[in-house]
Amino acid sequence: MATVLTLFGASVLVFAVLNILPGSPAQVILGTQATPASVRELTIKLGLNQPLPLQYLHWIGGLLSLHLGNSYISGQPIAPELGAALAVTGPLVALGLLFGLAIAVPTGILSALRHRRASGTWLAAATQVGIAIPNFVLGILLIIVVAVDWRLLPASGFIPWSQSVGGALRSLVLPAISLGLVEGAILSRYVRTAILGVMQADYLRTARAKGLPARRALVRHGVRNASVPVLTVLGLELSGLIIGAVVIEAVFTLPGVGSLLLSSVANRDLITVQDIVMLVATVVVVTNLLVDMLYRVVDPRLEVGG
Amino acid sequence: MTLLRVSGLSVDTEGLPVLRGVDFEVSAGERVGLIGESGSGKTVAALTLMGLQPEGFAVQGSVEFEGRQLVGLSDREFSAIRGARMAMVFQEPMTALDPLMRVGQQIIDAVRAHRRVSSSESRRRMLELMARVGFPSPEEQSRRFPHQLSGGQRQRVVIAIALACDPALILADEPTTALDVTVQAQVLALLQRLVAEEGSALLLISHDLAVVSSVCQRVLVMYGGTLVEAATTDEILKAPRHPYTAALLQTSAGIGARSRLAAGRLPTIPGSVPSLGGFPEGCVFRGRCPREQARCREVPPLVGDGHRFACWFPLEPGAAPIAGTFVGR
Ligand SMILES: Nc1ncnc2c1ncn2[C@@H]1O[C@H](COP(=O)(O)OP(=O)(O)O)[C@@H](O)[C@H]1O
Ligand code: SF4
Ligand SMILES: [Mg+2]
Repeated sequence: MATVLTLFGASVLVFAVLNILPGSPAQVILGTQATPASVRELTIKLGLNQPLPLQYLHWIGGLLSLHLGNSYISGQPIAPELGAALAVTGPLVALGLLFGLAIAVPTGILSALRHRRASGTWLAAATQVGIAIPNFVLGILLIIVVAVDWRLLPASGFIPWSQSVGGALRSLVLPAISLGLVEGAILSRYVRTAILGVMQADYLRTARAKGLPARRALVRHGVRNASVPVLTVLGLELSGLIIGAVVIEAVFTLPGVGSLLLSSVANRDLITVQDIVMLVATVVVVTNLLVDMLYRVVDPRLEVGG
Repeated sequence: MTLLRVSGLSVDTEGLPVLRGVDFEVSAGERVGLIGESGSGKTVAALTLMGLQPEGFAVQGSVEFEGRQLVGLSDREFSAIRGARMAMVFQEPMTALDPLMRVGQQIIDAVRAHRRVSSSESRRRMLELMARVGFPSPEEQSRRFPHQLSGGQRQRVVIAIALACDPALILADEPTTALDVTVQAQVLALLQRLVAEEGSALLLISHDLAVVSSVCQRVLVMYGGTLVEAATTDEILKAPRHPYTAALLQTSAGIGARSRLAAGRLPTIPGSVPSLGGFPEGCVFRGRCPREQARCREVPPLVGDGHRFACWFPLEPGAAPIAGTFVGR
């Protein structure tokens, strides 16, 4: 229920903000040479002369029946274009997240286990540095070194999945690394804190008093208990990843949702912008809902359905 | 037969002494109490016996248990003894159990830590243990999570875990302190009964002399990481020699103190327990002791045969406890 309300609120906000912006889409589309008459004609054709609430209902009604409408610019349906962009951004975000986790979990655990030794401090410091690197800087560095100097992976562009799955994956590797490393560094600190928390917990001492060796006790009780706080952060980090994807797609010129969004904004293709923002909002809200449900599976203290 | 022989046991952290050369023995099947105000080093002593002292605590001296030297064992070697031969009941049942694991499973883990038994066999053992610690319907209650149990019930689970592999020695660190007054007596009686049935030895730690004297045959008194007196419960109650023990007696609820409590005057030992590194040179009780003299600047040795105490100017044997000295503020 709360989810539906959140999404409704988001849709009103998105619609309001974009329609309050000055400048008529019809004017932008037709360019500075257009006559007032042709602008008026296009405005009527696009339905932009109707009262805003009606425009909103029309748009949201379309979304609910999965009709995303037609682009103001090309006149083409938005759905296929957005679908193609999603086929880039979806895997990019997923790979970025996987890569981030692949970095965060081992480094977080290791730096927690060695927190009293120099190596642990060193690891923690390294993740601090990781957090401080902007993802686009890393992306550019990777392009220069891996793509240009070593010629290992493509520097930009995207080979569609339909053409070559391997090619598509290869074009996503560097962007996913750029995207995931920073998130991984942030997550690593949360993993470290979570593991340190478990290491100091009384129940771990109980487990060792039973006769479980230190490492076995930590595995037995640490995985679940540490995953509770990490899960929470993971839900929040996803929004960060999506925002990061917009930047990274620009750096690697990937035809993803971020690129589509940027070009739509530049073209005042309001309806496409609205659709994309709503899509992202839905993904974020639904993910948080899933995380919340997962949470209740892991932690029995939260009653199901509460 | 001596089960546990602790001699010269010292623990330091960052150069500060937490335990200073503690000596005592526990015989098989014996019930020994360890008392002292909060901050005296009782918990650190118990954890050190288990090899579970906090990180950065340096242990010196000797802990001989069942003929084996424990100081210096590796974690893996110690693990074979923990839970199997020596087990511990903790003070805080609220946090001693994993909140995300069913209590039955936590008991099963204790059984399987040392016994290679089938899962049905360990389950049977778990249900038996739960019944023994007083759960009326173990089948159903073993599926609960800790937060679904009361404090007293959780402590029963912790006791079941300690009993899982029939240890020869159980260390119980303030097992009833965190519980409601109404269930304290029940849990204490349960612990006492189970220890007797198993024939295990018990080291019962408490800041409350009343708790210890109702269960234990012998009492060790600790202050400032030092054993200041050790004697039979009877002698401790009737003829304490160390001024600190006498002061504890004065403040102990249930041993003549209830009437004073009712009169609105809660007796306390003057001053407070110093923090680590804040204890005086010489006798650790200096500064709070009414009998202090110049000689107390030297460390008094723990002397005596059977009834041992560490004080230059002990109370006369059989003299009435120094009533009144510590009452009021
Ligand atoms: N984990 C720890 N880190 C640092 N100091 C500790 C730790 N545990 C106990 N101490 C210190 O050791 C002393 C003895 O504490 P403790 O054994 O808990 O006393 P008791 O159990 O008798 O109340 C206290 O001064 C306490 O502050
Ligand atoms: S040695 Fe001195 S200060 Fe210490 S308890 Fe005895 S009389 Fe008091
Ligand atoms: Mg304690």
